[in-house]
Amino acid sequence: MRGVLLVCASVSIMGISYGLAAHTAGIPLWANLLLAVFVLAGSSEFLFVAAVGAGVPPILAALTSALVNTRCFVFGFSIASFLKQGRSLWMAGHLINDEAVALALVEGKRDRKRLLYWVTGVGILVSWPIGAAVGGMLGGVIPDPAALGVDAVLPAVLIAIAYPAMKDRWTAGVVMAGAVLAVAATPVVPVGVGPVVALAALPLVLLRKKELT
Amino acid sequence: MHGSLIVGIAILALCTYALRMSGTLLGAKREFSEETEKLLGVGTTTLLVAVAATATLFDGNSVDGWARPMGVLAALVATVCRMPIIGVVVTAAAVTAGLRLAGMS
Repeated sequence: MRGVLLVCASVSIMGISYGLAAHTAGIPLWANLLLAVFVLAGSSEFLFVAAVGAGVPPILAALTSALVNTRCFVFGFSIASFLKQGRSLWMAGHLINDEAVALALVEGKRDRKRLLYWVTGVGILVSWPIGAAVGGMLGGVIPDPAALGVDAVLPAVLIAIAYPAMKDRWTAGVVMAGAVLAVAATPVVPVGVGPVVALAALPLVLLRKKELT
Repeated sequence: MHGSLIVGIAILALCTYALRMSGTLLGAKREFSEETEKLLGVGTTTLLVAVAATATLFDGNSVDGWARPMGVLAALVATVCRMPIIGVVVTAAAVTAGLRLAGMS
């Protein structure tokens, strides 16, 4: 649970840097907040505000930014494996994000997974928009987030959470192969689609099913 | 400008929700065997680490300097050394910021 708090704190810091980026791109505060609450998917929001700020028509910017969230489809599948059926799924779906999925992933039992998923998801639904609002209001007052290394926070959080899930060498090998594929693909596929290419490494698992722990 | 901005936000929100819910609802329809669940776990880990790797090396589609990769490498070392998440995050940001202060991009 302490992990959840720290993750939410990190998310609000990233939210501040997103708010600053939105401010710099000339996005009004209300639009920034609508994005933070109803899209609730950091990297696609960054991309959207940057594109709109650069003069891309918002509708076009929305369609390209939505591609970044293709991985949410896979995450949806993953959360459905431990969440309860019923109407709450319609809310749970909106809460899908890298961090909540990762924290649930490393739990062993289903009810722990469910708990961690909901608590982190709701925590991020609160901490991300708060960060975004603070960043949007402080635009021009506080220093460039790049100078503070904020862009290194997302990969660091994901590594810290996902590391324990690589319990055995075989899983680690598949994960690494996937990362290499994603990195190789990124320069040539639309922005945000690179990580999904990593899934092409999954059939490797089937070669040695027995070793799954 | 405001009108098209609202439409853009609505499209992004709806497309994102559609992606999330289609995966969730498709998944909710099936019974997961223990084996499938493990396979999904490996898939999810693969995806998360791929997100981390691409977010480390790229800004969008292009490589943008060494400061962040060095910061994340330091975070990886901190993780392997069993540092708590807060330590990992602070290490990543501090190393990246320090290198940028020293002139690395």
